[in-house]
Amino acid sequence: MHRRFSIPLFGKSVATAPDRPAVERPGRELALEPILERLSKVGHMILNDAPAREIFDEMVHALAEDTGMKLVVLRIAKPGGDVFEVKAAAGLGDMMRGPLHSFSVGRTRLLDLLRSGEPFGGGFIVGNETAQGTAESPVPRCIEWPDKKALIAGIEEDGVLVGFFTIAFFDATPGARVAPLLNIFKDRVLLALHHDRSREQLRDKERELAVCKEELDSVNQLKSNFLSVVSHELRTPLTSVKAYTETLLDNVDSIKRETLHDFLRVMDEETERIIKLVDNILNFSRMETGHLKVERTSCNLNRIIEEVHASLRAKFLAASIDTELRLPRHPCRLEADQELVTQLFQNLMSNAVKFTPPGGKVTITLEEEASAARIVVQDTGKGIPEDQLEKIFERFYQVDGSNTREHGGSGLGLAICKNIVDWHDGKIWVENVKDSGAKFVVLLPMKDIVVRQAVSAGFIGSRRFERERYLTLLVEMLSEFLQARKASIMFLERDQQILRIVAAKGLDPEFVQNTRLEIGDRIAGKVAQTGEPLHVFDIESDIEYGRANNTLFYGTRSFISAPLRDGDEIVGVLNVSDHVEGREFTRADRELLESLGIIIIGMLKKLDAYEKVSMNFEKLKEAMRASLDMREAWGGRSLLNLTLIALTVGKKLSLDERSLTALRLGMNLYDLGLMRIPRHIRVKKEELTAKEREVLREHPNIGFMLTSPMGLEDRITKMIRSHHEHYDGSGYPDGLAGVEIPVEARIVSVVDAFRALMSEGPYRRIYSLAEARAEIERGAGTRFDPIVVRAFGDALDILGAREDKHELVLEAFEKELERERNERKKKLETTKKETVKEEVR
Amino acid sequence: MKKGKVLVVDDEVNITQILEFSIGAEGFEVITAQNGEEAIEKARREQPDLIILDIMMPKIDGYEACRILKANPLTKNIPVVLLTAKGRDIDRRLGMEVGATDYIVKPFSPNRLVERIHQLLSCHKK
Repeated sequence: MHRRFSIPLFGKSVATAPDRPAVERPGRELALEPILERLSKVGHMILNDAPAREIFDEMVHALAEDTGMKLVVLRIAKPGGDVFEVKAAAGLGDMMRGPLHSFSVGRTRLLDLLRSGEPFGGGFIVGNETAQGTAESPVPRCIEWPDKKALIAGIEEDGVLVGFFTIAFFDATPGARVAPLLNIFKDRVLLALHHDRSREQLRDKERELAVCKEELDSVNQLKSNFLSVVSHELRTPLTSVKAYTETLLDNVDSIKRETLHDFLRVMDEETERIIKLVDNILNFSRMETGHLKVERTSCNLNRIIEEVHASLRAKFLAASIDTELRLPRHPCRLEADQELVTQLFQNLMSNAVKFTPPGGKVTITLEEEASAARIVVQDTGKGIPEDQLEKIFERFYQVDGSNTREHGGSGLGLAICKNIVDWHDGKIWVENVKDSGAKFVVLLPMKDIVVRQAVSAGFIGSRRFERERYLTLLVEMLSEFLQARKASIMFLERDQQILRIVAAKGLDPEFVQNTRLEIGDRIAGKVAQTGEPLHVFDIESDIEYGRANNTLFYGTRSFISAPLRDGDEIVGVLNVSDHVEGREFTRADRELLESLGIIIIGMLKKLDAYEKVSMNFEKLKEAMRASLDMREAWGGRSLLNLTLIALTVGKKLSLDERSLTALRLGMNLYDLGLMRIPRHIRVKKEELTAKEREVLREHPNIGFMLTSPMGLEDRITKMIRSHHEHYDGSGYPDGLAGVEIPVEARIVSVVDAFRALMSEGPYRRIYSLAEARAEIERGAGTRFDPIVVRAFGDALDILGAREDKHELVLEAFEKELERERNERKKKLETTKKETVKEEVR
Repeated sequence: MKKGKVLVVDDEVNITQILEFSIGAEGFEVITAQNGEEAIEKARREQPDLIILDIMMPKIDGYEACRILKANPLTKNIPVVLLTAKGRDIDRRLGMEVGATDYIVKPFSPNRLVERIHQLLSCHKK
């Protein structure tokens, strides 16, 4: 069995180190003057901003030449990794430089060694007697010194090992002064590193500034373009108005009725043009400065598009452009600002008219997607140069800004579109359609997230903004994961013992602002009081909770409220209702909601602790989507069954509550990485090729990477990473063995194998329950932890696992559900009787 | 008998229409063009006495059109009045450089433009 380093062996060697006379025997004393001189030179170099490389070189040479240390190597850790690079070496012939490769060593482990041993000046001595001839060398190869003893002297900064010296004395023994001397050198190394880093930062800043300046310049350029363009665009209609007015005034008595009418029409049209332009500019500046008030109401997109289309009919006709509307049969509704959305479509359609030649066609398509409305405006113009596809949404930008441009416009139309779309958290882009014009695509999310910042939290500036973004995302996550049209996160305001909604989707903003629930009040209040989730399958038959119903859940038949816990303390409540498919929420949904609570608390705590939450929104969204896909692939029911089995195994093994929680959440996430594996490999029925297997084996690590930014507990992410490790060390990705594999991962490994056996797999049939169970038992001790396998067997018995039409049924769980259902029914009947009694009276 | 022939060039039909009306009312013959290319061609063919030329137009812009007109012996003596929304000094100077006789910034007063036309044509004829 292969292991990289093993602590016990090394511990032994360190433990024996003090016994070695070499360390204790005073060695040759040092001559101080040359060393001091060299040190002062090093100091000057640092002050004079010499490159770190040169400074390090000077230092190792000083040590090698003036102290009797014959070989000196300085290694510094690469940023963000465990790789230590050789930065400088002295006293080595060229022949010996070869093996001086950079190497990866567990930073923490090395630090532990340095600390635990500490036989000599913050370092430890290694010699050939420790390492010689053993395959299981405890010491990283490069630290080993062929035939000689060497001193490893670690350089620490705030408890982090940033590098170390390797020093060989040959036959001499380090003297008493070596340790303090080395400390001075270590400080110098740190100082030089600091300098280097500051220089690097300075360079970064300079680069940033240069980029800033460039941006500013281009903004300025755009601005002056804008001024000239706008002045032209404004002057043109003004010119007409002025010229026509003056001419009319001069000829008021003589002018023919017909001409008069004609003139007035021109003046009217041109005035309209000015008004539109001014509106655009004002709107735009309001949007840019954030002064725009967005009033969201329920908008019927079908109708808006039809209206805008009708209003532009004259324009289309005049330009002899054919139009086609492709609208869904059912009106597509979403919460949006009616006026802004109208303007958005107006701009897009007028734009299409402008850039489509006579005889062309403009097609407007509206489609309803799962969580967004997609509007496509496609023209048959000449398209947009590829390199300008993104730029055209910049303000003041015009593809053709020359004197000879054929198309008027302020260069604001699309920038305004972009702003409007941004205000609605949507997306807009343009594509060229091969051989036929441009296609503008708008995605408007059908969501309406309200974030109400918790009053008690004294966040400032950007952090507050950041928190809001998180809350927005979290509530979206709730809604996406649970397919709920309405979702909300409530926090308990500790001093007042009141629940308030901090973020919500699908709820009236006013309601979100004003809702305050006392503990024990209504559903959420009850959840906060008892700490137990409330799950209502069908509110109409659920009189108890039905009575407590309020507008928060109005219109829904099924909902779940679950407590948000920080440790043992209840800090808030999560609510979801209105399943998109109109179905009731299942037990699996409830489990999922509780799991999400853990993620949410983890992320918010990190954020509140002013820790940098390295969460990438896009990545999280991606992870969310992937998780959804995964749930879909398995079906909610079997996933729930598997989670139940895993939890029962966990309980059987007396895992603590935190492990069980991790297990529950992990069961929802462990195969997340699979979604990044190409589908043809995932679902391949034949045997995988070596290459494909290699790709597939990446998935635990991908899952690990996807979940690491979420602020989850380590044990959850580790469980995801290690669920394909084998008990005997033959698994992947890290080749861990035995108890090195986290217990949660050992459990998931069994449950996942069980799932795989009972579903269709590569080149084999579906196993029956008994066969799958037998197969798992056969793997005990090799692939699986025998103890976990035993607990797994017990769990199947406890849960009353049986097979029904190739589906796994857990008898115990079914019974529990039945009981719940009966209880609800009974309650309902009792209440009805009481009502009848009251009525009789 | 017409007082003279004026070519009005602008891509905005509203502008050519009103100029046609007001300049025409003064007894001039007015012909129009929608862009620089058409302007050059009509100037050659129709030999107008004066050209009113917009700058921002499709195909060939006013500056370029003016330069071409001034380079052609057939048209180089026809006075050109640039009539444009480009009101900055640099634009005006550029206009003078390409050989324009006058530079009028939009929005303009048709009356004053007509006055200017009278002036230019009478002194030109002398």
